[in-house]
Amino acid sequence: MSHFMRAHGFSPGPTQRPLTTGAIAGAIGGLLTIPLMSYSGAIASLADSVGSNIAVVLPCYIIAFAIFGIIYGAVFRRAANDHRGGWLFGISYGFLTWMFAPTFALRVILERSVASGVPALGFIGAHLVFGFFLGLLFPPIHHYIQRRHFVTEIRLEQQAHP
Amino acid sequence: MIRRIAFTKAVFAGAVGALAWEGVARLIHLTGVRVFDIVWVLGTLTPTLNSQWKWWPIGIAVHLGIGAIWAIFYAFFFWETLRLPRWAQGMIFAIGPALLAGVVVVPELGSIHQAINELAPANPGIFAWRLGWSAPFTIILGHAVYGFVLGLLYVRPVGAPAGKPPHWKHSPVGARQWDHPMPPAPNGNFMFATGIECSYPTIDHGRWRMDELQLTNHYRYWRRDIELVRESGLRYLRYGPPFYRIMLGPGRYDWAFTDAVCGAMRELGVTPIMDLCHFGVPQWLGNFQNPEFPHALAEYARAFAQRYPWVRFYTPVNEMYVTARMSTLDGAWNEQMQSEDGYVRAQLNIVKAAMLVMEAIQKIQPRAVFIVSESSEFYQACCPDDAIIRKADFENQRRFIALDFLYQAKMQPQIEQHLRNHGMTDAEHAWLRNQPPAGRCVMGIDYYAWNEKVIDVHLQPESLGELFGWYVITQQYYERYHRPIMHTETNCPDAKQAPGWIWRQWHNVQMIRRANVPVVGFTWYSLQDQVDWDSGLTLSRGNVNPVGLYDLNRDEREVGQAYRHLVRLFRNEPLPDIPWLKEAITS
Repeated sequence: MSHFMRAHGFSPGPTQRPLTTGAIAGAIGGLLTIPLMSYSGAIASLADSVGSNIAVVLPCYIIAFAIFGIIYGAVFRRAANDHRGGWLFGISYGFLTWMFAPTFALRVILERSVASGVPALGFIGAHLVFGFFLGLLFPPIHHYIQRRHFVTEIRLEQQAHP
Repeated sequence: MIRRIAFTKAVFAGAVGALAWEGVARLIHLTGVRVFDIVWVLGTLTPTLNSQWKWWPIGIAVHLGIGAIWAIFYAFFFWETLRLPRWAQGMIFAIGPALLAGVVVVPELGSIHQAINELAPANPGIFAWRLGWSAPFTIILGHAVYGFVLGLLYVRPVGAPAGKPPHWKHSPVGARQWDHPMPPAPNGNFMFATGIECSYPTIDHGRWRMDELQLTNHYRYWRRDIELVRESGLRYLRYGPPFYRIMLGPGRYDWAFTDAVCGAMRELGVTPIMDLCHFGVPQWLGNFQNPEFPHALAEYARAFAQRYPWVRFYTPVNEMYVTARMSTLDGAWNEQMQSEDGYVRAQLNIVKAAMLVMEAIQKIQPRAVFIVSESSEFYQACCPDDAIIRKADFENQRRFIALDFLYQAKMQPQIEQHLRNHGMTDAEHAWLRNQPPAGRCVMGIDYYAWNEKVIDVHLQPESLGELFGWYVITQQYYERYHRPIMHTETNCPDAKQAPGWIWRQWHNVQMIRRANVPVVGFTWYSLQDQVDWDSGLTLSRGNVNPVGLYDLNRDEREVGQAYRHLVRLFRNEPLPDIPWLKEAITS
């Protein structure tokens, strides 16, 4: 897949900031999952599993979503900028992160399942919601950052060559 | 964007694949064999839904959704990466979801299910093996059915049925507020340009149209595209309104989209080089074999010039040689013939069309200038074999046929004889030869690394890569016709190499200008990435070719920055002293 993507000119180029964009979009996507995580009891279940409280676990989980966003930006780079299909692509990515994080990584680390029943469903839903917003928000956030970079460059150029 | 995919088609194919799985599972269930019933598991994750009529719609809806999500992955990353029948591609792809489902999802869902639903069995384990042999079997079979159906249904993601043109938007989408300074337009009159890729040939024997304006989302982002020309510091734009959708029949036109685009060009100070026919014709005209084609194109050109009297630059027919060759010798587009008779007919119709177009436009707009873009071709014999050398010589003459007629240059007798042998009549020859040599013409020379070819031992042309380069090939054209030159197309399929390539092409332009060849402009083609040119637009695969100054999300590529920099450095480059060209530019 990496060969395929390289062949299609995936280099983000000097004006693009996919990692920053991924972090911002991922964190926002994570924040937007809080109602679902709380309502389903997923976050409480996670806090119980790691022996901590929600106030500590919740920011950590948001940071994890930001990291997922960075990975999304790092892997997909220009592909992540899809204005039209990004949300659907993001949901797919959210599904992958669910398979990796709560169902695999946390299970391996904690040597048991993090949640079962409705809280476990909450995790699935939260990751899909996260993916949806990550994919949806990535292009406009990225465009805003890139635009600022472009405008700055043109202004500097005009100052240098009035 | 990694690939243009058809989201609706992918979602539909994935959902139908999941539905087919459910159908097979129900049939097996009816035989009394115990299956791992994924729809029941998904539908009864909420305990209130245990009754039959409630769980099935919920379960199947979730399962169809999952099927659709996997189908999107298939469409993006897997489809057509293997040279296998499509059903086999789908089945191989389904191995991935099957493994993930068996190893991760089924045990996880099993454990969730057990905790929620008192009717649920104990955790089924990996691939539900605790439920007996039939459960893993049905999981694998279900995925195989899903993959088979997905592979069968997901085809031709880009393009449209020839009789059903894609939707276009007249209102601007993606337009920006101009709240920032713009790069200055070039001061000198040297024509720095780019182009919107606008090919629209049909494939599949006229049933499917590959319209690059649709494939590259120009119909949606047309306003933004015009803005990007100016943001790149450029003034000239090679632009091909879709002839096949504008001319609905003799005397019938739909100008709405072109009106909107032309309005934006005038507003933003972009000067178009209007490309009237780019590799395709309207459905009602059929193809380039039709003797009515030249007259229809001339009628279209007349109507176009009347509607947009401010347009000064025209390309009558883009790459006349390539159009005829791909349609009649290579069997790739439109009539898809592989016949010398077909080639001669198409080539003569095309050159006649170009002559009639120029005549029609000049009557309405005497200041019009014609940028006659042609692909620069060169054939090298691979070895000292008479047949191979003859073939290379013949192909090196064939490339000049259209231009020889257009500029009334001397044609080799054996080429003329070849044309007569394959269908050119005396009357036709006399008509073509009695036209005045085209005036106010700039010879557009397009150049890509694959334009130089070697004739191999099987007498077949093979791409040679850049051997002599634009300078040498252009000299051959200039020495034959002595017309002002414009570098009207170039790009590089490797995005990383593209900044180097644009400078190499520019240095070719500089070098030939120093040799007193009047070069009037330079073009990076195209503004945005293209789609499916890796197969010469012969296959609808949705592969993005990263050759644009901007990608399909309209984000700038490195070559876009390089071109902006180049234009800034050479913005005072003077134009050769050609009065009629300066008149067209300044009028």
